[in-house]
Amino acid sequence: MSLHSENSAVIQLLLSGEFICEVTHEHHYNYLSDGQNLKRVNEFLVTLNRRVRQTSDRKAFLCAYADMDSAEIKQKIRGQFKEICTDLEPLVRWLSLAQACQPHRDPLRSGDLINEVDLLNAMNSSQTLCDQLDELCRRGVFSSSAGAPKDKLKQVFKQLVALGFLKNIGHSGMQYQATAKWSWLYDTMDFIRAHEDIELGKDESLNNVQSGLPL
Amino acid sequence: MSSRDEAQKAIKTIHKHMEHILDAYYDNHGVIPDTIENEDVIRDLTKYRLAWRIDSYDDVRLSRDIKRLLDGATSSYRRRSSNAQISDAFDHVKMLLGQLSEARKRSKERDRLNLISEIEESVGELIEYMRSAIGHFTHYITSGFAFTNDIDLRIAENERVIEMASDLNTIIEELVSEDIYSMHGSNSELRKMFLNYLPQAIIKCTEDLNHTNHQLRILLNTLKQNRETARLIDAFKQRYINDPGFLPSIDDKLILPDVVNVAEPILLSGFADIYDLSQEELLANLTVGLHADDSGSETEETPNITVEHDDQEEFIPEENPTLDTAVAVIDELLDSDGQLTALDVFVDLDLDVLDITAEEWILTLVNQVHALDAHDREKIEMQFIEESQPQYSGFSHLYDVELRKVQHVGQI
Repeated sequence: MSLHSENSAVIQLLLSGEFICEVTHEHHYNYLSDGQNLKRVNEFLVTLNRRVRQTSDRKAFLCAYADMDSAEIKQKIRGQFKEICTDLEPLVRWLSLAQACQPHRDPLRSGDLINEVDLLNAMNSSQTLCDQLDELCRRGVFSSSAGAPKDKLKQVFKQLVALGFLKNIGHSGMQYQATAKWSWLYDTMDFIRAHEDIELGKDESLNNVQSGLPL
Repeated sequence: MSSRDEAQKAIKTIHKHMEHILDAYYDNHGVIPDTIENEDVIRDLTKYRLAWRIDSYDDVRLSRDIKRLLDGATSSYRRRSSNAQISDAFDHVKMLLGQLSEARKRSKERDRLNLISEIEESVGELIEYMRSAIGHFTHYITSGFAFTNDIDLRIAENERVIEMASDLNTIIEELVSEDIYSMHGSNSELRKMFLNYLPQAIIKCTEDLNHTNHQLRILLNTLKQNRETARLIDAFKQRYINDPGFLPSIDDKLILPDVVNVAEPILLSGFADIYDLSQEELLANLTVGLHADDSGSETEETPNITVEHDDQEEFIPEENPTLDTAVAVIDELLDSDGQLTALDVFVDLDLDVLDITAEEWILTLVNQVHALDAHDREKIEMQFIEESQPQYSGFSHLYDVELRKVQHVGQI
């Protein structure tokens, strides 16, 4: 792909609201990781009052307003923020569920692989996880009228792919990779936590330091 | 005496002198001091070649076999104390070098050869200890401290291992600071060992250790990030439980932070200019191979194209007898309660005199039905008579269309 067409493709993706990360668009991500290319893209976007910004972990590029001072732009941002917050509770529920199904209880991060079968197996062996899935599918963005956990889970995965949080990989249709849109969500959650004064749980590491860990 | 009995006695000897062996192994670099109290121990152990000495004036050392046995049995402990082991092994090499120098002074050729052999072996062990210690760190990295699900314990263990790696780095730096290049002391047998093997091994281990250290710090950073994210998710989950319907808002913020700055998507879709010949040609190429949906419903979605004229001249449509006939046939159908098929009409009215084919007639009739206003259109039910083409999957051959006046409930 020539430099010009690469530039054009990246700009189109950004303007259409896509998040560019290594999982979704590896080639474009590498392109934007070059400072010169980023400058070139920004030079074009600024004419549309847009610019490229990165998530705090630098894993995703997304399109932001170059100037947020106008009342109209602020209104749009507030509107978008409301939309995010509407979907936030089910997304948090999903994150918690996915975390509980992981062998090491690690939170979902960009690049993590998820196998639908693994989650289903975890749920088959735990009624608590099944209940969490039922609750997740009761309303909101993941609402589903399906009865079996398998069908509910399929619906959830489908929705997460549609929202850009997961990418379907492989040929089985049951393997997924987490995109860096999670990084953006974590950034947003961290801002909300500070803004809404949400208290984080106790830092266990402090206790461990005080009591002295057995080595 | 059978070899089994011999072996049994050797094991019993080890058991009998267990404490002395362990003291030598852990606290005295494998050396058993040649004292009166140790006479029995030395006698028994040397009898079964479990210990040896260079000459009658030297201390007794545990045999390599005993040391390996204990090394293998206490690998877990060794891993923890691998740094001390390297340090001790290097001290041991230095001690042997001192003895070698003494042996040379005394012109004891046999002792000199034995010591050179022992030094070579000890340097080999030192290199092996260093490699083993670094390999052990690699094991930590690949496992990701997966021995526990508790993220805090994993972080604590990661920090401890980084500290161990740092200590090992200090020990290797100390080795580098020693003048190992001159340690061979003009012994041609040891030159290669101290000019090539040991320096190369140290350089390689230093490189590997730096890489390992870097990886361990990346892993620690990831673990810490994961812990923070897990706490964040938990905090939100708890908030939603305690405060159902919780909906964050930034309406009170006059200055919006960058973190919420996501631009609204701009729709990037293009439309072809059908009045541009080059674009029309491109469109024509795109439509090659397309076929209409056999349900026939898409014709209903055909957009009405309004052609605007810049000039004020009245638009006079050309005369079209086929079209006029179609309009007349439809009007007659609307006035009656019957039904007709396009082909029947074509035959009955001898429409081939209009120089059109049956297909063109059917198409004209269908188009006219679609062109009716909504009120009249809903009075006519149109059914395509077609048959699928087995040789072209997805294609159907349309050979007639049936029009029927709909009988509404109120009209019956």
